[in-house]
Amino acid sequence: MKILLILALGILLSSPAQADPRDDIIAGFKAQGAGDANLANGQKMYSTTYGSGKPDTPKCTTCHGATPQQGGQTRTGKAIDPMAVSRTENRFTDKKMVDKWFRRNCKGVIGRECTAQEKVDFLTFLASQ
Amino acid sequence: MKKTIFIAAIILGLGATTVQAERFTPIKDAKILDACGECHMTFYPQMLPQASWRNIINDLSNHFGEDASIDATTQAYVLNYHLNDSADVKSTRAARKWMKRVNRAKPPTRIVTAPRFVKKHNDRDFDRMWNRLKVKSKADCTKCHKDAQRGLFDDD
Ligand code: HEC
Ligand code: HEC
Ligand code: HEC
Repeated sequence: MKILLILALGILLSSPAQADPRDDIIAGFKAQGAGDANLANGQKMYSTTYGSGKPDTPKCTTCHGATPQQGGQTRTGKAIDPMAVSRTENRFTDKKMVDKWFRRNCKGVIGRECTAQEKVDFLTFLASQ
Repeated sequence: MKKTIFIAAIILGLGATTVQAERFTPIKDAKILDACGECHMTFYPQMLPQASWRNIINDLSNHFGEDASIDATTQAYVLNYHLNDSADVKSTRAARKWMKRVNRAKPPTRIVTAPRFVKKHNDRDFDRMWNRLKVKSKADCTKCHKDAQRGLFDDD
């Protein structure tokens, strides 16, 4: 009986860790003040030419694929897998990676850090692709 | 007896290496691959002197037109890794080749301007390959040297 209880507890405790890590990451941005995702804005971010960051990288698609379903290339020619979650299953599942690249790429392209709302919009749009 | 074997080994060694290009030990350090291998191949520390690496790794938020910044602990680790194996502190064949004709007062700012690179990439072979493979950047070594990541550059 006791063992069963402990087992049940174990399963209960471990199940949140099995949840989609993307949900946790998005929940983290919501805790920083973001509201519900605006998919249209996420889509716009993906293809907008900002030109307010570093001169060699005016838009996200300087490196990422022309569409989320296409692969991209770094400026040195290294392949980048498609950003659409349907094409690259493990996209946006590692919080450290997501944070690092948002920091670098938003500064490089837009010239400032992205807001929590922009991050939710961008991730949710690509998860829907 | 020992001496003869020793001398024979040296002669054999020299004979074997003069026909080959330099080799580099493949980079397996996960921290380096993670920090410096995301946008391009991980370049070999023995291609540049310490001063060059110091300049590059201390200015990662302005990295050739991009933000490649990393946290301070990782940055210190990456710097140390490169300084330990730089061209001017190692005595391997590769390091000696890459130090030849380097102006120590004005260390190269990148690999593609280092004398060894310039010397090996300024002929019609290079131009033809560049056009045929539609290479975007001279720093995309792996495009032309399939085994670059394994430390070999004489495969073409
Ligand atoms: C200079 C090239 C470049 C530009 C421009 C760029 N990125 Fe990236 N991005 C990368 C690389 C390289 C990676 C890491 C490799 C990978 O994820 O396949 C990456 C990864 C990411 C990731 C993490 C992906 C994951 O799976 O966790 C996010 C988020 C991201 N980029 C957002 C953006 C946004 C938003 C923009 C535009 C504002 C942008 N990027 C513009 C090169 C770029
Ligand atoms: C965010 C992407 C990114 C990351 C991460 C990155 N680099 Fe770079 N690196 C570049 C770009 C872009 C260039 C310029 C390539 C060009 O001009 O074609 C470059 C060029 C270089 C060059 C000169 C190559 C040449 O043209 O001769 C060296 C050396 C170099 N990087 C070292 C490093 C080291 C060391 C690290 C790890 C701390 C690192 N890079 C991490 C993007 C990156
Ligand atoms: C456009 C294609 C191209 C690119 C890009 C390229 N190389 Fe080369 N490389 C060549 C060719 C062609 C040769 C052959 C020259 C020869 O045999 O004399 C060569 C020769 C070399 C050699 C001498 C090998 C030997 O046989 O002695 C080295 C070392 C080398 N390259 C390193 C690099 C590094 C490091 C990079 C990236 C920073 C790079 N190459 C990028 C085409 C390229």
